[in-house]
Amino acid sequence: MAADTVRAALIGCGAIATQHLQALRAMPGVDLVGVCDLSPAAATYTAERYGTAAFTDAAGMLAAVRPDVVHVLTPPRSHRPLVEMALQAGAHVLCEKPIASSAEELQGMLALADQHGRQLTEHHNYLFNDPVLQADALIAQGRIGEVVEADITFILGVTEGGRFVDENVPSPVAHLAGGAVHDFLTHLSYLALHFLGAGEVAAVDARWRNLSGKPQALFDDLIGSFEVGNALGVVRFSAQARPECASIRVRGTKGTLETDLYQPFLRLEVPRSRAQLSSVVNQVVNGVGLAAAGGRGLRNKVLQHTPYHGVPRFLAAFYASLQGGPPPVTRDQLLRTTGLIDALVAQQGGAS
Amino acid sequence: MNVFVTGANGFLGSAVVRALRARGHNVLALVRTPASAPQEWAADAGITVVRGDLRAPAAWAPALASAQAVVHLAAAKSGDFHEQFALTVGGTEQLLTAMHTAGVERLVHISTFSVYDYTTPANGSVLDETSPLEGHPTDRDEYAQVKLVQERLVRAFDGDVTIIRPGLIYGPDDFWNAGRAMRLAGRCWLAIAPEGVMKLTHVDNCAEAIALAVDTPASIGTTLNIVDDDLPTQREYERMLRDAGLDHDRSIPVPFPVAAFGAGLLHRINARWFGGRAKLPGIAVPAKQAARFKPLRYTHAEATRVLGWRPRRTLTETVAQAAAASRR
Repeated sequence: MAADTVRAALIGCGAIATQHLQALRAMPGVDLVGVCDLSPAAATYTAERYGTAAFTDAAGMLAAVRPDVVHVLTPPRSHRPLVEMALQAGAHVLCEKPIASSAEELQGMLALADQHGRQLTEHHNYLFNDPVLQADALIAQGRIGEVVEADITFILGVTEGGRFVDENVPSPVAHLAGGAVHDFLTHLSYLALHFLGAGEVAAVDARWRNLSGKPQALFDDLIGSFEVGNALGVVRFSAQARPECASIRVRGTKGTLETDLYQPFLRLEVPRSRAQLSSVVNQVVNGVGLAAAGGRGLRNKVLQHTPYHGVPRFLAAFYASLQGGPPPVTRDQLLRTTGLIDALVAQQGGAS
Repeated sequence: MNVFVTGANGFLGSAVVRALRARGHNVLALVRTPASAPQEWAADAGITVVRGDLRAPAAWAPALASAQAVVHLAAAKSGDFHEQFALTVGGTEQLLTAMHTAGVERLVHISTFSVYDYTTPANGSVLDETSPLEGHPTDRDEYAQVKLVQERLVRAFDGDVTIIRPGLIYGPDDFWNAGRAMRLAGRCWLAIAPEGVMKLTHVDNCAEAIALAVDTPASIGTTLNIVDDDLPTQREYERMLRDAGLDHDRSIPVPFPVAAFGAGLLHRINARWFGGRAKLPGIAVPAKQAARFKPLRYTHAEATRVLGWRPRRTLTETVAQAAAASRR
């Protein structure tokens, strides 16, 4: 093993672990030294599949393999203790969302990272998806002017069945105030904040509902809004509407762009060279673009270019940051995201 | 004796409960949704419904502790790999741990024909309990991958284990679309390998074999394939159902060698130009296609030798029964 190889280890061998493992396997200079899961079968299976050592005890793994980086991929309840254990063992940590149950808890975890001189980040993978990068480029070119509104809407049928509404097995987010919505709140929040700039978050309002009538879900519907300076952020989650989507709409002083993380396309309504024909040109251009997006959608489906394609890019950025590169998300972004979630949750049982 | 049955209200599970009751056993029936339990259970004092999910043992471990044997049927049939793994493998892990803790040693585990390797055997050869298991699980569907891991766990269990591998379980309410491969449009289907023998077992025959295994100490340590007698080819099967008025769809038949050639070609194109990343329908993927359609022969000789089991219900009688019911 080369001296400059980074030793990586995983805690939690569930669905998201596959994305991390496939990304790590393709990264040069990274050596997977161990995987850990409370289920011996899951740990063994994953270890055999990816050619590494299996553990069922996180502390034992950290002591045995001394990783440089630990990926914490367990259900949210165990994030804090495992992140702290990994930091204390001298590892940099990449944790799945939500990293903490409050901004206060996150501050404590970041302070511990500082104390040990280690990096700690939360996986904001969608920031590295093609549609978001494309939107970033258009905004940077000034195509829609100054951003005045960002609307992030996730529609996911999570109450039809499965882990959030199981009557026999507790939901993995049962202890979090936002219930089923809480599992997606990190994505909604960091995406909205990403487009709205660095000002202070104010005037947070939220309406939380349970429309499925299933108590295990706690909440399955959210309409949230907030302000950053003069710009408006809207975060919306629905389990009832269809089709499923992860829609991003950013309005600016000159135009509007719209895209989707699950069915990527780009709709751009901006002033065109002959101003009086802009609306017509926009519709023709967007029509052609939509047809092309249909073809790309089919290709993506067959070639398995999934909405997880931001994961390897996020991981590459995080590992590069350990060698002195910029972090994939700043500490300010982490704290603002968790702070916004706290403020949205604080609106429960408020005005309504 | 008290028998703890997981997946008790499933298609096979409810038949197993009946077969165990017929042999005089009391049943502790583990179900996730008691509302979907068969109605006749309510009137039978020998059946105790236990509500719970294998992944959450607190709900069912006390009931398990009063059992002398376990029949383990519960497994995920759909969902992505991780969903199936969590339910099937995670659930089995909890079950085996609880059995160990409670000192319950006897286990009749329901595996599947899906665990075999179908790529290596020659067309027309006999597939039996000595045939090799799939050595490249990731070439197969999620169900096969997960059931292989599950069977390995069960084999490692320190107890008195019988492993039952049923074929395609049918009954008067489920004839598997006459064994066709895929609906093309409307009533028109693609039928791969019409010349291939269907590895059918009637749900009651299979259930009886499982109940017999519970009662047969000589089956401990054995693995038994369960298929019926007089297995029809897919073409014969389809014709039987059509003649009985149970099936009105049409098939475009594709002999297995032609379908296999097509899948092989697609596989090479995928490997050559798409780095093997292209995800194609299962019937166009060689290992998955072979598992479903390769024309092989099957036998229940070992089950008959060990259990004295003979399939009592015949396909002819079941089709006639279903036809009569559909006319009523």
